[in-house]
Amino acid sequence: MNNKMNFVNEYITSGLTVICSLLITILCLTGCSGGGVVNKDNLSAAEKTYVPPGKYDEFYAFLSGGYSGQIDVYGLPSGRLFKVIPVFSQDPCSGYGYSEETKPLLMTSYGFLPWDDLHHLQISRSNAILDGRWLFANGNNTPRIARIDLPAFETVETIELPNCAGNHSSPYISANTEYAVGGGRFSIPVPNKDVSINSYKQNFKGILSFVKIDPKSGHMKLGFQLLVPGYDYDLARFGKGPSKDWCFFTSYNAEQAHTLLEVNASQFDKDYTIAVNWKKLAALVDSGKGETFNTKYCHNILDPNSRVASTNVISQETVLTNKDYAGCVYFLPTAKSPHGMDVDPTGEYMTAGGKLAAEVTIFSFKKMLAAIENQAYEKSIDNIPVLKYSEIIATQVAKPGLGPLHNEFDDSGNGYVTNFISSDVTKYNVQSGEVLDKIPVYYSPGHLLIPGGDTSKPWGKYLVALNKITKDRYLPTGPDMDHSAQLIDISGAKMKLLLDFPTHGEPHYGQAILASMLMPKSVKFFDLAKSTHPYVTKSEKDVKVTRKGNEVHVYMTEIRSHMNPDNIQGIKVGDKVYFHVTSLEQSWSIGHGFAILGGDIPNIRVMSGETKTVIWTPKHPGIYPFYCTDFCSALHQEMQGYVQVVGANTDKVPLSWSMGNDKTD
Amino acid sequence: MKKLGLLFLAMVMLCACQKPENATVKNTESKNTDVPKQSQPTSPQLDKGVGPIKEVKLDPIDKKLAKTGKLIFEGKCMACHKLDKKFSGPPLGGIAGKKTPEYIMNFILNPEGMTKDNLSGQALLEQYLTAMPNLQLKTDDARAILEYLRTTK
Repeated sequence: MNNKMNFVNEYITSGLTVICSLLITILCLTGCSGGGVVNKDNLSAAEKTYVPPGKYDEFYAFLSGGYSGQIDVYGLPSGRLFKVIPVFSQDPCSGYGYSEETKPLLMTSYGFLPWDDLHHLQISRSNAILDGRWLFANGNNTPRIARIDLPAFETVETIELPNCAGNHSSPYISANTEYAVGGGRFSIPVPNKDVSINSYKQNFKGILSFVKIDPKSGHMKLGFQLLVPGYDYDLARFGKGPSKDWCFFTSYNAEQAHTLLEVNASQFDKDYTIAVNWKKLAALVDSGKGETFNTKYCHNILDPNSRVASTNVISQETVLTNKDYAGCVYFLPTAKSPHGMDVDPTGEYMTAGGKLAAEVTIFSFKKMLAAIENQAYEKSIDNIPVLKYSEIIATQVAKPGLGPLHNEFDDSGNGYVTNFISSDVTKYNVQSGEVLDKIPVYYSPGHLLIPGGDTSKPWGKYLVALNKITKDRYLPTGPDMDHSAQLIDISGAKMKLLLDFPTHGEPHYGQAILASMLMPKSVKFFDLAKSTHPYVTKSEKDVKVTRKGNEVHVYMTEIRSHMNPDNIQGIKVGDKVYFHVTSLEQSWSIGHGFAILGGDIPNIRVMSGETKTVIWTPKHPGIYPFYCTDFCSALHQEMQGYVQVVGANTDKVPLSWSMGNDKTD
Repeated sequence: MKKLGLLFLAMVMLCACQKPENATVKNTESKNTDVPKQSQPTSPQLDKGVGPIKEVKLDPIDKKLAKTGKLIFEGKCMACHKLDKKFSGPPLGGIAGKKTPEYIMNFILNPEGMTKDNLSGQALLEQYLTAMPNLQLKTDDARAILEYLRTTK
């Protein structure tokens, strides 16, 4: 009887189990998770993008923030946001651009500029392969190039580019990181002066800048500039392999229109790519060629030992004109109003997105050299020879889609182009130009990135489409939606959409690199013993408050979980109080912060071993509490203190400071 | 009821991913996990703690070393430890008479491990509630601090 019952029980249980299993299967296949419809393809995509808790992504992806002036660091394939690196914008989260140590990084000849439009990124490279030492970024509005130190993931240098406006074809770098470039999508008078706008054709010029990069320190220096016809220089790429001595810039507005460019700059069938032999130009400059221009621009650099940035104002530079650069600069006719200029991994093919022509022009570097050798010119503009289109063309990708903008490459001889208007990405064979595959993206892609896809060694596994328009891809968040990126699997013959993830600001371009190349080098803390900051406090016994006239310096320390001093008395209204806050910690991922009641500067955050300074000018007598803003420990909420501020003319309260002194009046 | 295993299996089949190829980068930070965990209370006279220091032989006090240790103590430890009163951490005057030299040096060199895997360290964390920071001191620094603490009461 018992046996029988057991049998029946088991029978029922296993029947129930099968039914439950089927139900779960059906539910999962038809959509049980988070409201989305899950099918087999999606499950496979989920497997490919799922990074389990505590595990790491395969790639770091750096996406520019556009008008956020920042860089966002994501993981691929998960699309998780790890960090925001402030570059050209003040950042209330870290205090970048607010602390005295970092403010100089935002200095320009126009003064302190706490914002720029950060467009393109380049990871440093050796022999056209990513080496992951530095990341370069351009400021588009007030021309600048920034260098980000990748071990610390922070901005350490910025240089302004004079005589230039709308630094869009930047900061593209050469195969061995010898030079970064800048080029204006606006031409302006050089040097700038108040001419009539109608005199565009006579007075407006283009300037291409070549910024030399020190191979050891990464320090930037304006090498030379090139004065070129007044077009709109749009995007640039250096060559690699056989073409490594050349740099190519696309331009539009060969019509030289200065109003309603939408119509007036789209008249000609062809515009020009300008090909520049930078190696020869650098040699010319070294031999003393070029004109010295008096100008003014800022070079700002963070000292690695003190972690204090300083500004150097420079007043001279070398400009090469068409008198100097004959034999080094050529125009390549390019399909109507081109946008992106990209060079394939072999260095033989240069591709230009036609934008208004629905074709990708593919030039042959070999043919270009032969055309130069044979003087196959169709004309010259301002003494710059224009090579014959038919002599330099390798092939065209016909009808890739509408509005082709940017190209990136895999490691199997294929190119991928974004089509803004038709909202898709097209895969093609670089040699033949044959279209191989097409995938819709949502919506209207600008740039795209493949890890290493602009180098000689792409990792042809993922493609990220950086889309400009989001619409219905996510839960709506009002009129302004964060942009949408899409991760696409390019490892097979057909492209497969894997993942959507939102991107902040407007990513114009990105770079991705194998995580294992950066991860071991990532800085964990700054060595307090080695700090040369002029106001560092290395031990609590050195804590002090000093006064010179109305300037007061507070040498403060922070360690879990107190600030020293935490009682300061005798500050006066009208004093300029400098809080120099040093973290005594030497631990990874432990930060402290500082904020004070009525402080007109956002909080600053202080990482282990560093000193950060904020200025505070109290306006009224009273008690002003301050506290640590970064939740550092269980007793973080106790990490606080008070400043007593007395009237400007009160002398009865001497300046004093203490911590742990609990005596009462 | 054994057949409920089938249900579990079905769920596993649906939910478990293949080992993702993308997770090739290893977590290098969890190095404390291989330190043997202490499960039994140990008397303070025997408790050497957990960390790199296994054995310390004490000679009569080396005054020069103690002086070096005093300087390091003032610079690195006194933000949180006083000799005679509770502060962020416990008072340390005379601690060398109460704890083994290995325990003291391991606490300086391996505070994360000591508050995680040593029962006495766990109890101190429960009492003081601020995790002692690792100040990246060298073995020689810790030895000098120990020498200084031997001179204190």
